[in-house]
Amino acid sequence: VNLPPTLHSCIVIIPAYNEAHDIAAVIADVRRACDFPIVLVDDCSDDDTIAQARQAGATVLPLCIRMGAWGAIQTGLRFAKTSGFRCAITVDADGQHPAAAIPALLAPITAGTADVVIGNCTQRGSRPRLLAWRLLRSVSQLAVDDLTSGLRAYNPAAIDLLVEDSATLLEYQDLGVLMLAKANGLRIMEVPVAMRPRLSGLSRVFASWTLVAYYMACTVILGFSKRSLKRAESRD
Amino acid sequence: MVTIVAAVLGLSSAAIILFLVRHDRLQPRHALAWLAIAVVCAVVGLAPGIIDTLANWLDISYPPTLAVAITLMALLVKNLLLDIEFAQQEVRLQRLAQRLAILESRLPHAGSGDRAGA
Repeated sequence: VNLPPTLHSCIVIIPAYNEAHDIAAVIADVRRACDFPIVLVDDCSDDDTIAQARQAGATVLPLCIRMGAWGAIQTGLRFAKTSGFRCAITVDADGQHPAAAIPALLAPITAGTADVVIGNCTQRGSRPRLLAWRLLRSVSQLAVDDLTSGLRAYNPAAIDLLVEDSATLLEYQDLGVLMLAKANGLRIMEVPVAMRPRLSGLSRVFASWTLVAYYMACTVILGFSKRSLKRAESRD
Repeated sequence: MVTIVAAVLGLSSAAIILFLVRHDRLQPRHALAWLAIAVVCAVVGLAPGIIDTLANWLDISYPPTLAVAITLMALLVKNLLLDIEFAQQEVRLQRLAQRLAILESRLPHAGSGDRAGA
């Protein structure tokens, strides 16, 4: 990946919870796509994730309290900032995201046209999921198709904002993060990405209907309460 | 008789609160709100006429509902404050754990991965 010197120090953040089975393959995939350092944030896994990730060559940040995907990612972002990295890419640990998409994800940041870039994988949506996305879009007033994608790139301005206390209570790397970014004038862009089926296991969010209902209720409350008080902008 | 019961309730709540502060089970800033509630209990217990007068002013035909409504509101507010404080604590706890994870990754012997008892 060719980057201008200002963005040359990028880091790949992988939040993981009990992903020992696939994590080595995911890290190897990222390694093939780019030569950025890889940091795995272990969200208190019960299995061998930490050892597997270390063996695969990733730096491991071991959390001692389980704080969910976003808490883990924020840990990675704080590590990035304190270690002097200028740009961060987040990749899910379940192998759903093709690391080959990383250069495409970084392109708008390199060009200076976006602060947050989302790997858009909307083609994975089933009917209920599409309906949920529509509801969340209308509640949050965000002109973003894939609100829940975990494949994202953040530039220095976005990292500076997202390591703050005000982003700590968010639970997922989804619309709460995007609404915070938008409210602070950051530019959000989507890049289409082909998504693969996860290597194994289930989504942490969509594992059961109760969890889906809980997720939707929390996210709707968050989206509604964080809405901009100004008139909604029209979608472009 | 009712007067004595309410006053005893108020005074004993105050005593329990002071006892808890004395034994470091309650912070003084939290004790403040509870002591205020105990004082109100004692005052209303000693002079129940206050509630009747207040209800009269507010045009409430059955005064005890006013007492119940005020109590419920006070508890609601206290509970909300508790959740607000809980959210603040959660932020502190998470940021602390994040910083710990970052520091741990920078230790020379980070390979041990010892999280037992954490």
